[in-house]
Amino acid sequence: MARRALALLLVLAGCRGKELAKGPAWVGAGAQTPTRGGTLHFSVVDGIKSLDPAIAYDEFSIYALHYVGDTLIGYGATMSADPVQLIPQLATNVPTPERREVTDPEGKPAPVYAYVFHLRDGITYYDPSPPPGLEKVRPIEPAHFKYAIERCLDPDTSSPAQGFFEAIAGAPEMIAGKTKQAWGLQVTGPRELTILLYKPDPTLLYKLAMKFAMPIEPAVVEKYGLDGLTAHAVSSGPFYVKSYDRDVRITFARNPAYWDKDTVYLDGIDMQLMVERQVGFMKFRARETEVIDRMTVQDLLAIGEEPAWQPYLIKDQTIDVYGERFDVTMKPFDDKRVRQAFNYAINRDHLAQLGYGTMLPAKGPLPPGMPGYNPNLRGYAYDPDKAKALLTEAGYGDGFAMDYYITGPDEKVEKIALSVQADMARVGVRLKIKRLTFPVHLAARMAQGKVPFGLDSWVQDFPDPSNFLEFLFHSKYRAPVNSVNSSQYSNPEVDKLLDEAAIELDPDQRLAKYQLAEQMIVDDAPWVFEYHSVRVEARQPWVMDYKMHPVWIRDFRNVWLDLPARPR
Amino acid sequence: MYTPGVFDRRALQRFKRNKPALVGAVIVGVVLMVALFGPLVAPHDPNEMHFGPSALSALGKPQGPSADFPLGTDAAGRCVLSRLLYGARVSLAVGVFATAMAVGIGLLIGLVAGYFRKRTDSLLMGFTDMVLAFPFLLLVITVASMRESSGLVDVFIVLGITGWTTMARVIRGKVLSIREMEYVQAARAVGAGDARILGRHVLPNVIGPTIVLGSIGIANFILSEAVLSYLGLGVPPPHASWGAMLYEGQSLYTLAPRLILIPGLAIVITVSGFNLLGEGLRDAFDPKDKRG
Amino acid sequence: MKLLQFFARRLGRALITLWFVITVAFLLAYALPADPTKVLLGPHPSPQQIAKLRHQLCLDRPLTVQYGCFVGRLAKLDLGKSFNAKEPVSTIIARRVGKTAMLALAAVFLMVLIGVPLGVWAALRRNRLPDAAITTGGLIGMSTPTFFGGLLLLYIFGFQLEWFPIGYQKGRELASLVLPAFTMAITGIAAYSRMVRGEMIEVMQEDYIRTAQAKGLSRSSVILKHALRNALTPVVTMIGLDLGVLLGGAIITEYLFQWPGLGREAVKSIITLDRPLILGTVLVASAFIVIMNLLVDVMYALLDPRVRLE
Repeated sequence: MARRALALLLVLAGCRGKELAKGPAWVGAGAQTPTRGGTLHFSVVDGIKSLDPAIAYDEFSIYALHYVGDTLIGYGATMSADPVQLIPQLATNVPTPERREVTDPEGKPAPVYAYVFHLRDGITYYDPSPPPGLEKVRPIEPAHFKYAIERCLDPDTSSPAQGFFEAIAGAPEMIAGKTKQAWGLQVTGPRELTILLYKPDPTLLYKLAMKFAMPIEPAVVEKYGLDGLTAHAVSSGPFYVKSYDRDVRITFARNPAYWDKDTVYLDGIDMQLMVERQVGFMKFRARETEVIDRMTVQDLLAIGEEPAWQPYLIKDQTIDVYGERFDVTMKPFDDKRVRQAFNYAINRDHLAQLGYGTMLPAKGPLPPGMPGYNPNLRGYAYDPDKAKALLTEAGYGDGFAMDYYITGPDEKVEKIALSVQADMARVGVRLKIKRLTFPVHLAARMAQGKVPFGLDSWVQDFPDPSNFLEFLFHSKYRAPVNSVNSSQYSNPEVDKLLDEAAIELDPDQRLAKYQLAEQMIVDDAPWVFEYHSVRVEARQPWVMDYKMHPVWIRDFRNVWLDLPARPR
Repeated sequence: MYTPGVFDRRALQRFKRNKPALVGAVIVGVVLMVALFGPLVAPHDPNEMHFGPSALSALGKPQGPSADFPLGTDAAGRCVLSRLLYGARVSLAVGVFATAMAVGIGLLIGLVAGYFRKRTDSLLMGFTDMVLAFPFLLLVITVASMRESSGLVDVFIVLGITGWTTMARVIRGKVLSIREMEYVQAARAVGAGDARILGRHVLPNVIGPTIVLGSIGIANFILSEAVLSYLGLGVPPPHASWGAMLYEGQSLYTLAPRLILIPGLAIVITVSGFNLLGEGLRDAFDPKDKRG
Repeated sequence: MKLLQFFARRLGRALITLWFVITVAFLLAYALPADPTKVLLGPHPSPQQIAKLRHQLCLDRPLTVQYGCFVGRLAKLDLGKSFNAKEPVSTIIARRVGKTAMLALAAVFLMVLIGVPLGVWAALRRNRLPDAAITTGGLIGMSTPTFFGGLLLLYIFGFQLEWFPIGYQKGRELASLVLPAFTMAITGIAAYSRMVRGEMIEVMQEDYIRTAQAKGLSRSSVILKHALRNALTPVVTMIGLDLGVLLGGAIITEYLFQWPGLGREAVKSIITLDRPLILGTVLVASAFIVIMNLLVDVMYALLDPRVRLE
């Protein structure tokens, strides 16, 4: 009887696997050109925290804001091979800074760099349920952008973006609570906004493309207050919020007042919240959703190894880097040779194989998709003999023991750690794995002198090399605790290059400087750069023109549905 | 004279006639053998990761049983059979050492509370109640997740210092009843010192229940270790324990159910064995002691 | 000793226990090494923002003052704000407690509904096949780690047969309840069936039962009226204690099935070092256990006067 039970179990185990093997059961109608209509459904694992542009910082709130909010300039949608471009959105230009002499509020002359934005004519908000006395369709004014940025600077808002805009003239005083406005944000014409900086800041444009700089009306904020903005979102983007059921679902409908509405094909978007990953995958299989990401390992493997699904899988890098970092102030990692030895000893291909297809081996910190990515970067090939030679040269021919700090519990992280441990053991370094929960690990690795060798990672705030290279490797970001430069790395030549690049106005020169700096950093090996993560998504066959956006990720602006879908 | 708690020949006979108890003893014996000698016959190093096609697919999927790997590989390309055999050692060791700690503390507290009664008893039992009031699992998890270092030894300690309460209570109860026994009263009347009474009368009678609780304790601590490892807070990598194997296997359980079936069954069988043994011992020592 | 005195003593003990729990929980939570300001403020907080938050959280004062701060808030039933969710802890707990209670009640219901009859049957068919099967089943049930049993149930009934949803699904709450409730009930069913069996066997051998049978009463009425009632006393006690323990944290089960209850919240809070939430859940859980224990003790004392002498 036990035998029969076992046989039944095995049969049941087998029959599930075959389901996915035949490929998608339904396909699109077969249209060749974009057609208008249809609602795109997808699910996410968490809820939305806030639709207040000054506050929202988590992934899913940003998805929602992306559908309802445009900014002066935006990130053009691209595939990972092409670096992200800035394109005009609510403004008609992507300004280059011009030098000017102006007087500051105290009457003193101030040399500044001015970024002048020309607003598009006829751009409007769409507010489906306006407060009494206001129309549904209202014009977007330059003052609204000024107001939005000032909200971020205002200490009472407690915005995570406060620090982003501190280079604007008048911002530090506002941050300190001394003024209620930033004089560097000026409405200089009916369709013109000018932003003044004391020093040129090439990253300003990237920050202005983030949702923190979405236009917002003072009347709306006053009416609804900080907590009410989520329920009363006003749209300046391709869609508007049609309904919101907290932690259950939020739906969007095409914005009839959108300035670029001819390029928007979807009638609506349906975002289902708090859907657990496995459930999400089941919904996708049942054709209840059009796209699926964040699949569990099993689902990923199941669909990833089926040839019939390959055309519908989308793999794209996200702009991040993962690996380990050394604390260069702790022995023996103050010796560059030891750090380089680690880099030669670790087999990155093994790591990638353990990653279920979600890891792209990395040579340096900048990933493909980042402007300034250098495909010819000289990294470290897998060479355990070279590693051993370097260790011997540094005086560690007999190897040594070392603690290796990882975060946990996380099964993928542990597999990587095991592989690294095995690789290092082969050249004589005995790593002892120590598992800390994430917040403890974060605090420890950002403190000087606590974690000699441990996991580290960096995910972009915006797609610019300075965001990676400055924060992580400029000596001014070292600190005894909360050190963003977690490896405590300091190289005056690198600092010089980074400082020059920070004020370099010629984009090509600027990127060249960053590439030079990156090569120096890789040669100095303050980290072992291991991989960039790859997002793997699947789409239904009738979802057309969908590319994963490197910054916004779930960008459905130009997607169209080839409906009606029919069984194959 | 009938002295419950002492393992005399009659107790042994009772034990031998108790079939489930014998089964338990056999299981425990087999598991001990596996723990001691299993690693000698393991086909691979349990921590060695293999990357070839018989171990992992190109996307990292573990492969099933094959000539190289009799029970297949796990998600890190390691031989499941080898990990099972080595894991026996770790799971058993954690169970035994944690029990030793818990027994040590519990015995001490129970003896003192039961023997000296009144205020000491009140104090100690009050303290025990307070520890008991903590949801055990939450306490263990909190302490475990706070550790900055993580070693095998820490797991024993965490389990041991949180798990002694039942031991203490039972021992105390036993000591209380032994204290009332006639011969103990007699000894006191004659003027025997505390140490002598404890040593000659109380301790030998307490050994029985201690062994019983110990056996059941090992069973429970093996389970607790499995739970801790399941949450990723137990035995640190790369040590293999059955609980850790369950933790590692759960993300792939639909693709490769053997990754959880195998260590899971190992745990169930081992824990059953210790439970049977413990109950058999209890019935052998003291057949009138019915506790459900 | 009178009942009232007994109750007063027990209540006193319970309160002291609660105080102890509060203090230890506070020490645990606030002695944790991580600084919460980073988690709450995002990656680039200004020094002013950090200072303001630290002041709000009472972090800039010595430990004893923080303790006072904490106890003071507790008196007002303010458990603070969760670091991660930025909501008051009491709101989160209130939202989740219901779900855990649902799960615990369902589990206890199953334990009694299945465990007791199985125990009775095993006692009646003592030493025959059903008894052997039930006893062995009970042993295995007690020896199975909860999450293993849960994974098996999930695999067979959720994934393969698709009778029940995998994990918690809004809209199918009742169906989502089945598997986790059964998982939690496994150990309980095993324990109850053995306990009932043991008690029944013992009682059935008592003289007064045999007297009743000799008097001509049918076997089943004898069983139902006398044996069962006596056998159930320990079970009732166990239910009370179990409910307390279950409410205290159906942690593993909730974690496995992603059941949105207090247990899952507890695990999340520990892993993310969300101090106020950890404290809140530990306190609530302990409070339940202490209260249930108190109730059980009192009930026991009501039923059995000998206990009051202790």
